[in-house]
Amino acid sequence: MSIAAFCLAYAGFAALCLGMDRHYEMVFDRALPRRHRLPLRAFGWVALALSLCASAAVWGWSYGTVEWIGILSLAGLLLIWFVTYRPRTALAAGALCAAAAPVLAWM
Amino acid sequence: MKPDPGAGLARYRWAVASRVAAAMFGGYALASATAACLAVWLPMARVDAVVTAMLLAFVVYAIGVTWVFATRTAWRAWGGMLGPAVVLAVLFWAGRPAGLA
Amino acid sequence: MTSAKAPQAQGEGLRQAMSWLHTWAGLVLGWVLFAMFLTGTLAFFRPEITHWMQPETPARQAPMPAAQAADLAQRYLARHAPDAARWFVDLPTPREPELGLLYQVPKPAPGQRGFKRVKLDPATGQEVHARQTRGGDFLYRFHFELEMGFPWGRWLASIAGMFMLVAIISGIITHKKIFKDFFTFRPAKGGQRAWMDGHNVLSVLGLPFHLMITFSGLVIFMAMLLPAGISAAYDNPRAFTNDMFPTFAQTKAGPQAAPLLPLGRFVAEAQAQWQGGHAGRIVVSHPGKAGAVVSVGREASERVSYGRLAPSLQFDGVSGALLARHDADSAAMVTAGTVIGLHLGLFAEPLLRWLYFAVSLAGTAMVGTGLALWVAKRRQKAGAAAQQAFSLRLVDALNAGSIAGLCVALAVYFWANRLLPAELDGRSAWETRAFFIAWGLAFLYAFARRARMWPDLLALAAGLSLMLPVLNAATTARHLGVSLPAGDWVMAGFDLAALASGGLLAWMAHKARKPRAQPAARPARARAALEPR
Repeated sequence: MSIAAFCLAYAGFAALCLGMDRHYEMVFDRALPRRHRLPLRAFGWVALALSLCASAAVWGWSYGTVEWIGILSLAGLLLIWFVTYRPRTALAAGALCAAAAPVLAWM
Repeated sequence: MKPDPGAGLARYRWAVASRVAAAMFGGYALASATAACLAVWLPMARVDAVVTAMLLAFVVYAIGVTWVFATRTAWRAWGGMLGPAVVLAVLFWAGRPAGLA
Repeated sequence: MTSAKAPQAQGEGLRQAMSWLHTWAGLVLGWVLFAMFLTGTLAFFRPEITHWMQPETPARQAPMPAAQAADLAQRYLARHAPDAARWFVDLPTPREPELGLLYQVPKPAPGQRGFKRVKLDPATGQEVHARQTRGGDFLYRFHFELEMGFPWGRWLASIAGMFMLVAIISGIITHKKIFKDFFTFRPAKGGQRAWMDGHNVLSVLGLPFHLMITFSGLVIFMAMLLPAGISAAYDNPRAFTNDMFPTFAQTKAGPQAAPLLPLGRFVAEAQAQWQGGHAGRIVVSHPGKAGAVVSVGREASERVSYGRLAPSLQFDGVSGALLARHDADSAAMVTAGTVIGLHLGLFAEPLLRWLYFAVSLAGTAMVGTGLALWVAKRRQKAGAAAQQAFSLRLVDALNAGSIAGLCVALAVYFWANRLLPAELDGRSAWETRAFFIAWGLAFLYAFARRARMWPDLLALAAGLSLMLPVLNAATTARHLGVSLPAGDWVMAGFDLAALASGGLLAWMAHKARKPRAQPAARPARARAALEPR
């Protein structure tokens, strides 16, 4: 479940990143279409929130919040690192994490 | 920071030094006055009031220092630190007999 | 600046002012702050580092139950310190399974300190026999005392902390595109842009942590820093300390001798009162006398706020009666306790502890990239102006000495630990001496060889770090070949971390080697500040 929390954080940040013009263009070589912007950003925020829930599920709300902040920082830094050098891989990893998270949560 | 074009380098440096002093020492005076005043006036058990007062005093110090460098002139900076400090110190003095139960 | 300005221009004026404040608040004590951040990061693993530096101690096992350990401590203390005014016992924990004892020596010999600190091996009841070293404690103490005399070290550290807090606040205000540039890192652009991006990313992503750790660090020393708050309400500062830390409250005692009840029973009763909560420390005032008080404090790791302000119970040591109960649960105590507890991180289980470590390292990198950015910015602006060139060279050399030099010094500290004979008298002083000598030499090198200081010092640090596990294998039997199969994660973890740090430092040394004309290479260094070992 804690890995699920991390995956959700990474996926959430990846979605939010993709939902920004600058980074979308890096990956897809075209401008961010308006109809993609809202879903991407919504998904991003939802994933981050779910990450908090996953963290709380493991450690309780107070401890879990502290863990979540740490997970967010680490996931964010990792994403930025990857996106800078391998934008497509970084964001594909985001999709992978999004898919893996529910599976991990169920285990 | 905000060098006044016509004022000259020396004047600018004095202004900066003045602000730094206002921030560090004026700010400390303000923080101490805040801590003392709150420690006496907060309606809690003595040790709780002192702890709360000190926690808040740190916040006041940090905000104060930031404000010193945002405000228009160095004179205002000093005023903004020492003015409230004096007021709080007076309040502390007024509340002192009650606080020292 | 007049009040007639349009709001946008006023915003610009504020941002400029905050940018100026941020630059100078960060630079003036930046080198001190870097050292504080790096040693603080390592201090999260203080007992683990100490354990690695004392390979004679056996691998960690489950800690002895508290009541049993308390009785063991009592037997030792009754024999060795029957006349001490106070006994302090730190009960075994999973991270520190030894019994930590401290007792006051009533009449110390001239030149000796007034208290003695001992570690007992619970399995034998004897003092732990391992090479004398300050271990992780040296790094922990350096973090907030900078190896300076009391109280100057902690005052300097606190002032640095205040500068840091101001730097963070002004940094937030001045960062124009905090959301837009959230994910932006452009090392290819090189020079100032790349360093700026790196600095921004490290700062923003770790912002909750950086803000928390800086503010809470100041709060830890609040009694020293803002005594006005205490004297306002208390005639006697000692009374405040007793109220704040009832576990350590000082008491008076009668002169007659009276036998002290077994400490184990106090521990058992305390744990029953806390409904299964664990005891963490015991303070016995006036053992063996009438009026002895046994104070049992709850274990720090059980809740965030228990780091320094744990609940405690005070008992009469002779009759066993419960004298007082302090739950430390007022709003003020829980708030202060939580703030302080978040800084100490004692509550963190392994995953969270590594997260703390990672984000703290990012904070270290934040300070490091900030210092590098100052140089990069001015280098890009500097023409032939001699004035600028001097300050630029000075800061660059100071940067190299305090950043790369500190990494070298840390590696040397661990090398010294393995190389100095275990039986050598005063070896712990020699270990720390080696640390400072290495650091000093690194500074000298930085000023002597300015063109090559960065790649050379980083390469040296890298080499020393990478060789550390090899040195471990050559000098002890607890190397990776043994610790990994045995699942001894403390020893193995240290060695692996040394390898990782070495790799990172080597990569940075490589990047630093590229000629100035291609600044594109340098910024990648911004990533993960400087690792030790």
